[in-house]
Amino acid sequence: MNTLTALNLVLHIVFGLLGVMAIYSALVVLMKERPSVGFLRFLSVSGLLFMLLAWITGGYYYTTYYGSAVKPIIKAGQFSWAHTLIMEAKEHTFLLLPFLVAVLMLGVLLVNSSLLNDPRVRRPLAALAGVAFTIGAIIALAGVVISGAVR
Amino acid sequence: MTHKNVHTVYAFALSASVTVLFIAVLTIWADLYAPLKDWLKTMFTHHWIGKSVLSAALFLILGGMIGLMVSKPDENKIATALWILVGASIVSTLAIWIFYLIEAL
Amino acid sequence: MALLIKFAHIIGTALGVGGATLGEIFYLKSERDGKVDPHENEALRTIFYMLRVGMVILILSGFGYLILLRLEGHTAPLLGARVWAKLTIILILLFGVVAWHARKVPMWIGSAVSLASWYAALVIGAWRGLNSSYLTIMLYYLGAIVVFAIILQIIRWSLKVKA
Repeated sequence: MNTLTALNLVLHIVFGLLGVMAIYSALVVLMKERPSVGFLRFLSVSGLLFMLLAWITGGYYYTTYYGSAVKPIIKAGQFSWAHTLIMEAKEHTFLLLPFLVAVLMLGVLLVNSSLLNDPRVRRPLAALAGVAFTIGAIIALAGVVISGAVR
Repeated sequence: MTHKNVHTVYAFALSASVTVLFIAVLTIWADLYAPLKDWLKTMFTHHWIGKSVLSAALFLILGGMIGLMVSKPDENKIATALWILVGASIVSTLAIWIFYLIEAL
Repeated sequence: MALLIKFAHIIGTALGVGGATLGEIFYLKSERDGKVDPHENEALRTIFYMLRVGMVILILSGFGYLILLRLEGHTAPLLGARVWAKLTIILILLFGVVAWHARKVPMWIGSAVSLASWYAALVIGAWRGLNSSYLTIMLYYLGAIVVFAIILQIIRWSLKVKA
C-alpha cells in the first residue's frame, strides 16, 4: 500500500468516526426538551462535512486499491464472507448516509427554533439521527471485520 | 407558524426517501443483471462511483423539483416526510443486507 | 505514533472511568435530600462533560490502535474476542445513554450499566493476557452490571436517598 492509499484509508476511518460521533451527539441533543440550537447546527453541519469527506477518501481507497489488492486476499482466505457479505453491504449502505445527514442538517438549519422545540418535528429529526447513527455504527464495525479478514 | 424555508426540508426529505430506496433497488438490480453493472462501469469508470453519482443527482434534482412544486407545508407534513425517510432508510438498509446475506450463503 | 495512541487511550479511559465514578458519587450525594440544587447540577454537568470528552478520545484512539494493526499487517486481533467485547460494551453504553434520555431506562439501571461498562473497558484493556471467548467476557460483563446494581442500591439505602 503506498502512502497516498494508506492516508486515504486512515482519513476515511477518522472522518467516518467523527461524522458518526457528530450524528450521535446531534441525536442526544435532539432528545432534550429544549435542544441547544446553535450546538445542534454545528453538529449537523460537521456531520455532513465529515460524511462527505469519508465518502471521497473511502471511495478513493475502494476504487483504486481495494478491488485489486485487498479483495483477492479476503476472498482466498478463511473469511471470504467478509467481502461477499460485509464489504458489499457496507459499501452500498454507506451511500444512504450522506443523504440522511443532509436532510438532518437542512432540518436543523432551516427550521426555526420554536419549531425545533416542537416534539412533532423534533422527534422525527431525532429518529432520523438515530437511524443514521445506527447505520454509521454498523458500517464502522463492518470496517473492523473487513480489515480483520485481510490475512 | 413555519419558517419560509421549511418547504426545502419537506422537499429534500421526500427526495431522500426516494433516493435511499433507489440505492437499494440499483444495488440489487446491478448485482443480478450484469449489463447494468457493466454500463455503470463504462459510464463512470467504476460501478460504485456510478451509484454515488446517480444517487446524488437524483437527490438534488428531485429535491429541487419537489421544492418548486409544493407550497408551505405545515409541521405535520414536515414530520410525516421525515418519518417516511426514517422508514425508507430502514427498509433500504435491511434490503441491502438481506440481499447480500442470501448471496453469501 | 503507537505511544501517542496508547497515551490517548489511557487518558480517555481515565476520564471515562473517573467521570462515571465521580458522577455517580456526586449524584448519590445530591439525591440525599431528594433534589439537585444548582451547585450540584453544575458539578454534575462538568463531570459528565469530561466523561463525554473521555469517550471521544477513547473511541478515536481505540480505532487508532486498529488502524495501526491493519497498516502493519497484524490483523488477527481485529477479529479477536477482546476487541469485539470492548466494541460491544461501548455500543451498549452509547445506546444506553439514548435509552436513558428517552426515559426508557430508569436511573438505577443506567448507573449500573454506565459503571460496569467503563470498568469493563478498563479491565479488558489492561488485562493483556486475557484469553477468554467473547461470550465468556460478555457474561462476566452482564454479571458486573448486576453486581454494580446491587452495590449502588445498598449505598442508596444506607444513605437513605429520597429519590
